[in-house]
Amino acid sequence: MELLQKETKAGLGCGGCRLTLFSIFGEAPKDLNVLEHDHIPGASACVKPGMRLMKGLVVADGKIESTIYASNAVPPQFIDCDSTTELEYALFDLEGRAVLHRCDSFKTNQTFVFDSREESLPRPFYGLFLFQLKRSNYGASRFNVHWSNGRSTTTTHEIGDSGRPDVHFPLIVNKNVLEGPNRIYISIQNTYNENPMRCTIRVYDVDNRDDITWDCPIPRFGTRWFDVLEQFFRPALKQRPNGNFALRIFRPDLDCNRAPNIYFFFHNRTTDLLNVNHM
Amino acid sequence: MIAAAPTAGLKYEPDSMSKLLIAGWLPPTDEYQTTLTHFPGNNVHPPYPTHGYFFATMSVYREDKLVAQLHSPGCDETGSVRFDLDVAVGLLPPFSGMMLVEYHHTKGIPLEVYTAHVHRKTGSYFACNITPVVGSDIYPNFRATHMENVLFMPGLAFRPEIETSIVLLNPFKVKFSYQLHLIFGDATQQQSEALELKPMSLRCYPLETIFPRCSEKSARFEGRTSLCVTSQYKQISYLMQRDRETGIVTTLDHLHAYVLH
Repeated sequence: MELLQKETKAGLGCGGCRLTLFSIFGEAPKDLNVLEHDHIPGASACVKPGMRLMKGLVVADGKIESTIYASNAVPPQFIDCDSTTELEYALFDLEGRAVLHRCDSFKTNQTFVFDSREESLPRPFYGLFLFQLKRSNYGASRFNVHWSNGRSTTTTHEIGDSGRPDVHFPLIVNKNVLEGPNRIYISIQNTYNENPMRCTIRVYDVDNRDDITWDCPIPRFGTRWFDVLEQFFRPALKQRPNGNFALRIFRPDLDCNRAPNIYFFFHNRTTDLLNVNHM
Repeated sequence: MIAAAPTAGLKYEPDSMSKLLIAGWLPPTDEYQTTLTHFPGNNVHPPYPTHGYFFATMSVYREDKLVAQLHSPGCDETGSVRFDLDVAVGLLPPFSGMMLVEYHHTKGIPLEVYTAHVHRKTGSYFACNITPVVGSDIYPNFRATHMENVLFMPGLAFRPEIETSIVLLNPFKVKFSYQLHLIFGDATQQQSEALELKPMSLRCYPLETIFPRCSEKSARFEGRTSLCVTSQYKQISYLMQRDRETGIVTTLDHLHAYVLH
């Protein structure tokens, strides 16, 4: 075991060790970044190897502002190398209209920053951020978005092509949640050149399947922003006050390769804290 | 091992079943109510099979000791698999630990699983996608192809109101070594000494405890600071942000793989 651990030690000293412990995991090491590696539609890893075009959400509504970070840091196993590249980014509003488009250089170990506070955006703004790298990228390029309301900051990453055409909000909502301290917002984005992308929003009682559905067309590169408690759960709980409701968002054609980007936000009114995640 | 009786009308056929093993962080049980609600029907459509059977076992570890185990009832794609951790941990002294979920599902149907955590005093909520898996036999090469032993997180928020931590899980029966690296906006780096995690355990490090002056230095770069974790084997790690004033978690998110081509 000691020898095995020594041989598989990662870090700066090993200069590129990507080995795994065969004896424990029984697997062959495989570089996930080789171009010919099969894409797995709908894979659950939240990982899109080699993604150079990334897609995320910018909110700038006066209450929440957004800062985007991407790094061109060189992985430790590469030690010293030049990862300089060009980048291009664009921002689209709710209706998918481009409001800015820029190109820049992205130097080795540089961090890219886009801060909505420094932009003259038409507020309230909710929109799609596209970020593209122009060449092989040796850095940790996936961008993160920080959403901040001044009191708190929450973050998650771009979700590119989510591969998830059918998702559930991970909380069952009843009258206690509806009247509780949290406001819940969901953004749904059409990240494709498809006009419009049609999604269905379904709120249903998990005990008896009674449901209400909404059609949600989203223009190409457009974004939709919902107060889900007021717009979706309140109508359902009005019909069935003691119900326990789930929220499902799906493309009727269930196309894994053209799934929408979806983020959900919680704002706790007691503490003024934000929390975000993606679906 | 599975105690749950199959739901009426569903027939358990071992040959048609697959197993997903996933690990997540259990926040302090006196501060948070933790639930897991999973709707497996999300992926029960072509090209995946159209009829499925699902159930799970959740094991809870404190330090490296198994302290509770829960079994869900089975369901088909119209139902949901649910756990309320209070049922199991409510009788124990408060602790924070690791959840290990063994999810049994019909072969060919992939899953995305989130945990939900509600702060008991304020109702503040956070959710976490715990699908970065330990192992799966739906995709036998999953560990090899989708997991990494070098992960990264760009843009750390070192702000006065935020405590930033790294959560590392070791769901394996062997010890686990790793190093943490901070990369600042001027491309300078700091790295920790080699750290070690006991088998079947979890550690949560506020970065300031590993890098005592990182906040000061990072503040000069206004968020242009990134975190890299290198580990002995493929890792499961999360970035956590807490509000300092209340201790409430505002972010729990997995780190990213480098893009190497």
